[in-house]
Amino acid sequence: MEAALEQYLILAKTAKGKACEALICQAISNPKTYVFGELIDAVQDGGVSREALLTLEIFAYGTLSDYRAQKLPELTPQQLKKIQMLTLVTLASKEPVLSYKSLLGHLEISSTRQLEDLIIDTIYEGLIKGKIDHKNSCLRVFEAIGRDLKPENIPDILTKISDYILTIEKLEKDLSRNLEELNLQKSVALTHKQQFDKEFTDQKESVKACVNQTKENTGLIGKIKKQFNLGK
Amino acid sequence: MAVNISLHPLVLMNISDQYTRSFADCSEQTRNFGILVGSIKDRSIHIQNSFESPSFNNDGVIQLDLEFIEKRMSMVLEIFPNYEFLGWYSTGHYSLQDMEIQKSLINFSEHLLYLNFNTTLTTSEELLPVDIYETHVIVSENITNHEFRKVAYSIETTDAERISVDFVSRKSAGTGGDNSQYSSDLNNFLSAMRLFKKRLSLLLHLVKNNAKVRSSRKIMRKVHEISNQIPVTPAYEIDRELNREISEELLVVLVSAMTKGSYHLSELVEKFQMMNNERFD
Repeated sequence: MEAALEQYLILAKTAKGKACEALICQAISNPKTYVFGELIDAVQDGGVSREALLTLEIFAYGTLSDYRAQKLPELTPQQLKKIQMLTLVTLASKEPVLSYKSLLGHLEISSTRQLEDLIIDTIYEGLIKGKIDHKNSCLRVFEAIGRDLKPENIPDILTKISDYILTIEKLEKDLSRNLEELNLQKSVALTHKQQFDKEFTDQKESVKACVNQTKENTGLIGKIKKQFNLGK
Repeated sequence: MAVNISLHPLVLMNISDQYTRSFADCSEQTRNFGILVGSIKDRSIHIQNSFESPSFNNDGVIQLDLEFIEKRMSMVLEIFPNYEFLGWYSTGHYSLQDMEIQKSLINFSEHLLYLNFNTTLTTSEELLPVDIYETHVIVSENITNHEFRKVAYSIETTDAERISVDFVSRKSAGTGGDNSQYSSDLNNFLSAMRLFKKRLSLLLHLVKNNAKVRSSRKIMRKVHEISNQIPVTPAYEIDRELNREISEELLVVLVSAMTKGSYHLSELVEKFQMMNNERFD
């Protein structure tokens, strides 16, 4: 992905002023460039106008609505498509399910047909991975590439990761406790069952003994015993 | 020779199975031998299967039964026409004699691989005690010397193999009898989570304490991508699904307990009747 930007980075080393602005324009129009972080660093002291730098920054970090919020020159069709795709990437990285309705608004597209074409192109470019759910009119996102990160946003990302680590730790603790409890309950149930089994056999024995006793006294054997005066 | 050698788990299972059986038979460590088969595609060698081979011990010199190997190999080729004779394996400690065996097998394939499963190691390291060698011929002053040279390999599994390995490992772990599926699953899950946490912490540590990493746009984009994958909002859909699953499961347990209970009750009643009948007879 970075390879496409490489040529502009080399040129940016020598380009100054107007030449550099033209370079930025070329870079954002190239259909293969999707990340611009390195270029921002390279043209920082190239003496470019504020406008050109802002455009580049929006292409690196921002979305189509960010572009509209600024008074910037009209986009060429290629640039429009590029920023639409990048906006889609940003939206996809925020939510796993994107409805067509909100996408149409964010991307300034009027028909579902065009929107789906754009989504398909974005997927083929490898910017996002996902599935189009035409029936429910939404896009289900599995993955999206990481766009450039504004240096001032780095701490936010780090907090997010460390928060997540805390969540994992909590979950880990809970699950370990769950596992311990499970083992405890299992051993309790096991001893209970053993006790029950023992009692059951004991009872069975005593009932058997009792039955035998009755049989001996009342049954045929008892009668015979009585007859011959046995067992006394 | 720059080839990728990938070892499939079936081979390891076969070898360890053979070793375990022979160990149980003689209760001492003997060396086992066998043949490796698999496929060669472009520049990658897949060691997919193996079969055992008998060996003779002629006054300390170990020989393999070449006739047997030839017969077995033709059978294997009948079933798997795309397989090839790749080499051989042995368990136990690697010895210098092994080169003689290697030479005796040269008729089957010119480029032989030799896999040694070292069963004499007792340390429980995480690495597999398995080494794969190839022959290296050194010609110096008109004398050719054969030498084993270690080659790198990787372990590869296809989905079908993963299922069977999982099944076997579960079965061997479950022989204790009172380990429930749930606790073993939970343990697996926990260890996966711990590993994940370790990696994330490492990433966090790197980015936090290294300005060079932070200034690299490329790395930060990756970090951004990773952080985007982290679910922040709870997934309600999954929650709902899970709740339904739990209640269904509980229902099944309840119904089975009730069925069992009523069965016991009916049995009791039957016995009671039997006893009463006997008493009044």
